[in-house]
Amino acid sequence: MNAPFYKFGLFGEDASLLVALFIGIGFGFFLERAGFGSARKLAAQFYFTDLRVFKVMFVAIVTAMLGAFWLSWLGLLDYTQVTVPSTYLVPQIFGGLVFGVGFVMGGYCPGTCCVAAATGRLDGVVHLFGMISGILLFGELYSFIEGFYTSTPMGRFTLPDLLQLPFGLTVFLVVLLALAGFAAAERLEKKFNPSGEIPS
Amino acid sequence: MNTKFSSFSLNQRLALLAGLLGFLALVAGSPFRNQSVTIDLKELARAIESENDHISADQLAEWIMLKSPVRVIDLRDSVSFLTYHIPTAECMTMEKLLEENTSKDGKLVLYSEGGIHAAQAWMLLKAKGHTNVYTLKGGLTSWKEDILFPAVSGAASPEERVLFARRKALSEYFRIVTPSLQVDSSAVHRKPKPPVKVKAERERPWEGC
Repeated sequence: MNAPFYKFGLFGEDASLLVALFIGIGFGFFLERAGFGSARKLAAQFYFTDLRVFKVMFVAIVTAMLGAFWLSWLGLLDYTQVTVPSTYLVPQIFGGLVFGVGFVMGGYCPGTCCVAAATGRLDGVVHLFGMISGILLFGELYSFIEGFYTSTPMGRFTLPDLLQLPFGLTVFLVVLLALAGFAAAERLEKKFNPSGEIPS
Repeated sequence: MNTKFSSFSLNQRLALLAGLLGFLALVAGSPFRNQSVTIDLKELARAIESENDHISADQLAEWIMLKSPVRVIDLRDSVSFLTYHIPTAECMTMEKLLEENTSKDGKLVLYSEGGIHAAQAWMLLKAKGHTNVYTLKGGLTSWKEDILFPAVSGAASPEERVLFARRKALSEYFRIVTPSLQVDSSAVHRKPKPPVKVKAERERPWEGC
């Protein structure tokens, strides 16, 4: 049996919503367990005192990448059928900046603010409210910004396309980058937070 | 060696494992070697049934006029292409179209003289994973009849007259874009999307279109 399961008709649309629900709960669970329900812990990365966000995210990227590569290599996953969100370069850089400013100001990203709200943190609830308002506003204004939103389309664009390198080499380079990043993160934490105190 | 490995922390072991898998990926070769193309039959059937696989000449004319980001692919031979082609169209063989490694989400409209050739190419591109590909309903024949030389009968209904008026406007626009309906190779340069190597195509016209 090959993955992605939905694309190959293992389950239908209704069941896929249920699968998404369980994956979402799992995602939230691990975010909470990693301590991402606290804005203080999330913000600590900007002061280099606790770089767990960087580490957790990079671990997730490397795990997913190695998984996708090796499952494809074994013939268990049809990589070409995996949905990759399309790249729209300029609007996405702009969106990234909006996201970053919101993250620094509010202390949460979209996933973590849901976690914070679910664990009863008021700042998380406020952030969640802001996010939903933003979504509504975006929806209402979409017809005005559609031109910009769909500008510079690059389609399914991945690192091997950008670097023009073989897939395996790209995987290896990203793993090296991640390992170097983890080592550097540990050093930074020791330098900026020698006592190892974790804000709660 | 064994005792040394057991002295590593869990993090270090995981890092080693990731490093090892990464290194093996370097020498493992392409992850696609075990794969054949997979076609999502249900999706294809749905697209064909709901007529989402093709667009009308009017729709295409509007897209081109509004400079909407769409690539128009002419699948006929190069001589026919040089005689006349839809403005902004690129001339391409089916083989070359399949070799192209560009966006799978970008909007593509395929056309041939009648439509069979384009429909076959549509199927191949769908199998390759393109999501936003259409054929021109009725092919170039219908483009010529509906857009370039629209006609209306004396007994036409009001709706048909409205449609005719719109087509008349489109027709005027496309006659200006392609004066005297002759070759307009510069039209290729005006195409809105970047990833096409127009130059290479012009340098090697003998490769066929």
